[in-house]
Amino acid sequence: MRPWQLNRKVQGLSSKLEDPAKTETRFDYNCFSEPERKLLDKVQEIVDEYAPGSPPQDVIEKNADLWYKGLEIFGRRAMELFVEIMPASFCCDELEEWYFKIYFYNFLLDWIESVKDLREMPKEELDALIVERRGMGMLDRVFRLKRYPPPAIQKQSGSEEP
Amino acid sequence: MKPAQLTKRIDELSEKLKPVPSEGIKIDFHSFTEPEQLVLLKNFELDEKYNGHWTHEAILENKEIILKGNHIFISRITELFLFAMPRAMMLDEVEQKLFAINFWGFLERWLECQKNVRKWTEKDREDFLRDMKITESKNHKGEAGSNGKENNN
Repeated sequence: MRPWQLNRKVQGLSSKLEDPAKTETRFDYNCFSEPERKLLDKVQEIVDEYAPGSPPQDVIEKNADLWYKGLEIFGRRAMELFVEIMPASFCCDELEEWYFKIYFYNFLLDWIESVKDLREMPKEELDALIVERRGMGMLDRVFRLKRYPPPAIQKQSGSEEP
Repeated sequence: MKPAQLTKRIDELSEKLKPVPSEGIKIDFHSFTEPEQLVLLKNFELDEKYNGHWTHEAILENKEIILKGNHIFISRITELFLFAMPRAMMLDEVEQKLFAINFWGFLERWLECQKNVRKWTEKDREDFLRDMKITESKNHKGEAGSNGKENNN
């Protein structure tokens, strides 16, 4: 099959897959370990008690350990799934998977650093920045960040710098 | 609750959660739409049929269904990650935007890198992997050495 034929067939499948009733992507609850499930059930009990609203701040504070641990579990599991599935879905080999991890963990560290800087900013300065960025319409779109060239390293013969 | 108390309680909980081995996390199959489920079921069926012994012809013959299955996984996994992470880290509006900018930047850079790596010759890839493993094992030895020193002190 030629590439254009394949593209046409995949496009055909894409239109069939366009389902107006888009469903939310969820974790398979049974994959969590038993202690994790127990903890998440407790958090869910608290959430259900105050549904459809959110639990009040004092309740969250009282159950802070459960609450934050629950969030940590979700964050960690989402990351675990992403790091495992993405390279596999792109059919990456060992080297490509290694590059994926390098780029992913660098993104995470870059972002944590920028959030740390933001959180250290005085409130007035931060508010002014938000107003300015919102006025420029920048909070509703994303763009390519400028990267500095990597430090010169010895190249493999004939290989292109990734 | 004071931060120190909270950290202690979270550490205790972490300790309780630690010993149970995880069998890996999956996406709830029911969260896929019906057409998506059909594509994935077809993929599972093929996987079972070839049972790790995929031939070049079999891949070519089922290329579109394999690619579509991978596409579904990639989009769903990205969606779940982008939904769960900012919430798990309790980000405000600006921090969420920053997260999105950094995330899409990472994805674009990695795809570019992937494109370049795929242009490498087989020999270059093997050489690079070998060098990487040598460096890694040297680093491990270095760490073990420095740990040993620390322990002796």
